[in-house]
Amino acid sequence: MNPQVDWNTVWLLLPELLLVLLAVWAYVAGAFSHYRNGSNAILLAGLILGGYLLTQQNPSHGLWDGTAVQGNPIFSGPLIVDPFGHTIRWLVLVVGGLMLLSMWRAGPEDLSTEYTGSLFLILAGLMIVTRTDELVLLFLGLELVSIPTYIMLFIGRQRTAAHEATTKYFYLGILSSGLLLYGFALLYGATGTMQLREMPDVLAISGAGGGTLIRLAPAALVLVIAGLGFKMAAVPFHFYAPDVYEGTTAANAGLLSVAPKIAGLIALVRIMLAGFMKPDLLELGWQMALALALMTMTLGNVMALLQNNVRRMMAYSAISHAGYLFIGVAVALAVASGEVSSANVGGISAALFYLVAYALATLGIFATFVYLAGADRELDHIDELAGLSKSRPMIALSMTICLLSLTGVPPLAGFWGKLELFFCALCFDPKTVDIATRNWFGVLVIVGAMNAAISAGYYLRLVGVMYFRPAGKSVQPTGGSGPMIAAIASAVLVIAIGMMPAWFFERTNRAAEPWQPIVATTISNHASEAR
Amino acid sequence: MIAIATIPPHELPKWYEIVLTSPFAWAIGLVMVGLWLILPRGNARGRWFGALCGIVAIGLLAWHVPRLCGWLDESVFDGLAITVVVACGATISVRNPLYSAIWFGLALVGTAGLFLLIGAQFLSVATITVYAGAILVTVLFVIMLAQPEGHAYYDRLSWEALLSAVTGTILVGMMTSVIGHATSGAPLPGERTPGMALEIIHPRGSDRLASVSVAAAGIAEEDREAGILAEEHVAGFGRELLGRYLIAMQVAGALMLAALVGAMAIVVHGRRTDGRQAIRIGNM
Repeated sequence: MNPQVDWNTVWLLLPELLLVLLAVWAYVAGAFSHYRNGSNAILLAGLILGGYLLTQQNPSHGLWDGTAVQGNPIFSGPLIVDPFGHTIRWLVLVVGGLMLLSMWRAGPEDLSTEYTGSLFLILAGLMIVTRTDELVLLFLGLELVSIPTYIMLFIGRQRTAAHEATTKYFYLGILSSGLLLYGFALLYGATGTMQLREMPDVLAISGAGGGTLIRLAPAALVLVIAGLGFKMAAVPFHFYAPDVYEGTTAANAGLLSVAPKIAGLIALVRIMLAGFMKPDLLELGWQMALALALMTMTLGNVMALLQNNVRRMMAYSAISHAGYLFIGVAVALAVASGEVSSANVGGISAALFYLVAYALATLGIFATFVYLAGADRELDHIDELAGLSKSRPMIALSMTICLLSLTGVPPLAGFWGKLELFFCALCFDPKTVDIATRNWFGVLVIVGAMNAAISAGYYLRLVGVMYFRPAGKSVQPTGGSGPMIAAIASAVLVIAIGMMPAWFFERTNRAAEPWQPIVATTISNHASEAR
Repeated sequence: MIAIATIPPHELPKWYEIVLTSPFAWAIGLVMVGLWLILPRGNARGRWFGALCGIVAIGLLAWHVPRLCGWLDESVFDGLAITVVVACGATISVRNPLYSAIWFGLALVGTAGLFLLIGAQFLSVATITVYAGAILVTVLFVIMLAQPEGHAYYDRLSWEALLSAVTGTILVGMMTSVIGHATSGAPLPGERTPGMALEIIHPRGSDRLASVSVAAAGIAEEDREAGILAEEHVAGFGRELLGRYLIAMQVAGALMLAALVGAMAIVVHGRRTDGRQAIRIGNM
């Protein structure tokens, strides 16, 4: 329980340190050479080295012996070391590799290392967000995701539309950071601690006695959800996404649709299930998450039907998938609030699985757009995809696989993700749940299933254009082999997860393990209070 | 262990009785009206009335806020607090961005004074150097460089005046009610009296909660002596920063690096774009 930093903490941070060092190296080397293939190859090798370091910190190795068995996380300095954070770090590395491949030739020639260096800072920020246990570090980690994103958006392309998109994203990003910081400040005021792990105890005492400042907590909760909702592009806070995606390059749009979503979901889970671990707060939390899920899914999917610009369509698709992620959050919070008990404590696990499936498929699609677009031109209108199955059958096939996975067609990854999400929202214990709550989650599942059908409308439209419409003017892919490899690798991963979902479910279930004891104790506390 | 006295529910005052009889509620209502009137909307009607509302509201609040210390300290605090509030109001209500920035500077000076008053010298100096010294000067630079001829008319308007006034007022009202009840020590309807939390013994959270309650009841003098008034206060701050918050410091360093690189990249990129436009214009 000692919050001081020691060598152990530094050892635990090795992969993050490696990423930051690579970013610094890229920045410095860029001053001397613009040889893109060389620097990108070194960065890719660095990612693989990062993967090796991660295996050294796997649960079966040294540090975790004995602790992983009990399912208890261990703490070191401001860090929390648990399977949840570890799983997300693997996801971040894989996503980072795919992004680096699809950005192989993105950005202007003389700023290419600044571009990829910023990408590595984003990856380091994501990794820090996944394992922080302290509000200060959590906020700084989220900023380490945002600020390099602004840079990448700006230097992605020289176009007025791109600059307008950057400015828009910059101002709204600052606004969301401000909201989040305000929420953190109120949360600190209410609990008197920066450490997330201490918050449940403080809240438990406040519930039993004085602690009037605890009344600030609902305001903190609303502000935190709003701030993170901006990052995840959930519906009342989504309005920037379509314009920004349309204005920027395909590679940047891919980054935007994945990195902030991972950061937002992880931060939300970490904060909500520690900082607001009190039945009435969690109740407010799941009601908000449920409302956000309903609005986000529906609006995102319906608006996507109307789009003709591919990046704009994918922006609305990204919005709607944020809604699906909120289903998992709502279930987890409802179970933790102790009002309802579920047969499986699967909300977080399902959201995590869905996040993996979504991130891979979306990156595959954007990598395809990068491949088809090239350095000076963007793929804008859907019709430009016509006849792709004839000219580039391999790319058309991989993109089709990613699109079908996002729709939720078995046996691809997205199908298992949706199945698990809907399943966990239906599996409440009928003895403990009041009828209204169950009905709300029933409505959530019905709306979710309807949305999956709606989303088929626009995803299959893309497939139809690729396969059944004769080529107008032929697309000359100039994106190079990097994006092509990224697109095909994403499709292969999507198929692999779809073919052996059990292996991945085991991982995500283990990742969600740390919360099961918390959930169980809250339920028992609540039950004893009721008595 | 502890006798918990709760007021029976049927004797509780109704919520509207609480609102109507509370001077704070009236003050906050007046603040909302005043704020809406003085925000730069399309027309300037009622601005003086809005300012009057604001002054009355501040007077009401100042009259009813519980006294925490001797009259000298109290008057210094009141002076600084009123300066900050008035300066903030002026920041968002004047139309000229230059004046707005200068009012913002005054608000910062007042905040620094408040920090000094509770003994947080480091925060006080940091507020002046970082905000007034660096950020405010940058803002002034941007204003003067970007639009030396002044903002366009539509840029000076507050387009959602009513909405912002209502949102701000709800937030301020909620905070006032929470913190007001915490400091006055009066229990909210149906609530157990605060201060009892001190007596609840809990293995891990007791000291922290105790300090929270003490802060809520006005900081005890001995706590201040041991804490922020101690000679080693700033040294302790530094130790925390480089001990407990070391990782956060390093991450902040990485952020600064990203910001620096971003600034350079934008300069290079922007110059090139300008050059290209110049060539295009030259070709025409």
